[in-house]
Amino acid sequence: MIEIKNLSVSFNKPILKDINLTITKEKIHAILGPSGAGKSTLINAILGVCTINSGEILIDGRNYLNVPIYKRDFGYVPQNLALFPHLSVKENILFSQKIKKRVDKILFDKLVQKAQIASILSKYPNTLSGGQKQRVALLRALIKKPKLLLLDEPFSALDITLKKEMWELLKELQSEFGITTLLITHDLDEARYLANEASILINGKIEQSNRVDKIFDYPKNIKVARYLGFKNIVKSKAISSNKLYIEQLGRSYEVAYSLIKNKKYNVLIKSEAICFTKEKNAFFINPKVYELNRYKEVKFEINAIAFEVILGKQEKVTNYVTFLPNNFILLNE
Amino acid sequence: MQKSFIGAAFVILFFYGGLIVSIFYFFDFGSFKEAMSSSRVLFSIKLSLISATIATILALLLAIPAGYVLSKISFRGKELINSLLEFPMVVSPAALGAIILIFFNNPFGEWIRNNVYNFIFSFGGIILAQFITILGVSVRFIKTAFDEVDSNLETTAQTLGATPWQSFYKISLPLAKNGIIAAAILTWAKALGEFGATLMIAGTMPFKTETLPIAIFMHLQMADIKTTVSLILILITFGLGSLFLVRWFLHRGLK
Repeated sequence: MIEIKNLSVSFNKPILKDINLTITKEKIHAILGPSGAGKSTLINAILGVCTINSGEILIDGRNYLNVPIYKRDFGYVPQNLALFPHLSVKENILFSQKIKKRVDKILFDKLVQKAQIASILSKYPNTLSGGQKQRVALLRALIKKPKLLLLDEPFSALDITLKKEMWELLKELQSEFGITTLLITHDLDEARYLANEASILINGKIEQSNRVDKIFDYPKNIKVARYLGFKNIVKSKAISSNKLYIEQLGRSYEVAYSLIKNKKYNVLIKSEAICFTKEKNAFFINPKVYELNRYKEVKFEINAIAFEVILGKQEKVTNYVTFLPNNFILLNE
Repeated sequence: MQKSFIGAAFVILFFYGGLIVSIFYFFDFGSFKEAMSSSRVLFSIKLSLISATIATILALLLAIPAGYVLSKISFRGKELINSLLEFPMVVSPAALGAIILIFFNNPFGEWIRNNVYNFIFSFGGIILAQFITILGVSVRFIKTAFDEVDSNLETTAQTLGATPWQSFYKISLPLAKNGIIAAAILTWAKALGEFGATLMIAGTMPFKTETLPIAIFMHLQMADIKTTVSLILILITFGLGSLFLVRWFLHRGLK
């Protein structure tokens, strides 16, 4: 298990604030966050290339904070891939093994075959395509079977087709070799596809850490919900231990949570909680429907509050809408 | 606008080209052959080539590590050192030579002269004058060569198990190689043409401290224009040859 405890980094102002993170062995943990959240600083801090103000990096209980980078036994794929331009593909991949003077030919052949790059081994990085470069960078980091593989948005420059190919390759190799991986990304689809667990980093602070599906299903607070793209957040007040009154809608709803009477709650009304109906006692709306790829985006307003819903192509949109309180999510500030 | 700017570029060609061509007005092949067989001139050429090569090697030994740290590592005093690199360029070579001469007349300088090596009016003095003149520019060129190397490459190499020393000589050094070679040739050419500081420290002794530029000065003083022109042509050949080599190395680096 890899644990990051109370990690803080500042350059004139705080960049990372008291980061606590647990990465389960042999799993992919995604760090999601907007630009400038401190994602790359976090990876630099773990790598040991930036000065840490306080904190610990524990791998199987051993603190790595004072271990030099070259002894940390991490694999690293930076955003620009950092392939060595004066070395061939083969020399790039075997770099770590040549340093250690232990070349594992069987492992090399196996990785090359899986990544389907046998034909480019003698080529130099400047002659490779984007996808080939990604494969080489990934293999170079994986061949040393690192204790922790750090990926800093390595697929961000690829088009969607290549990106999916790389996701599949990464997933296959990572699960086969059981390499614990920390993936920095701002691509929600990438995190959903690749990661087992995720943390949301906003303004240098981990806002939520959990299994990926849990995070996407149950964002903890307004910042996380907004970052994940949720729109329908309304204010409400508990009028009993299980009833919320949403003033903007002028209605109360019975929920499955136990509430503190008179306390104010932020409510996230996810698409699943919005139901189009023909019942006349529901809210009347003038829906605007936008065709997305395999979905429909429906926008409407109730009492000047804007709502957005993503529906399947087959789902029908009507002029009446009701809310299903069992799918309401309560958010902290 | 473009045409007038191209015109400005051609003014440079006419200016320098014109000066070079004008030398040929006094050029006489017989005198050139005579100069080339004169033991005094041959000594000057040999002295210049040897001293410039030694000064360049010494400067590179210091400039490669210094240029690297100035490019890649943050440390206290970095900005001060960076500003001082231009010191030999902003102070005239004669003043620089005078400063060195004054240094060797203070108690510490005198102790060096008496107990280590007497740089005044000696071969070592020529090397010292050339070394001090080219060191700053050599560090500047080499720093620029290392600036071109992405720092992420070394970090990545270290994550792959390379020690800082291994990541330097396996990654940064080979990638900066062409820039370093170009810097070496340019600084060598600058050392070869060094005059002011050499004159101050080593003097103008034939068969002892008379480098090519000093020989030019001496022959001009004696109004021996034809030998002066021959010596100038030799210096120009070395200088322009170096520039072409530099361009070739840098072009190869770009490829």
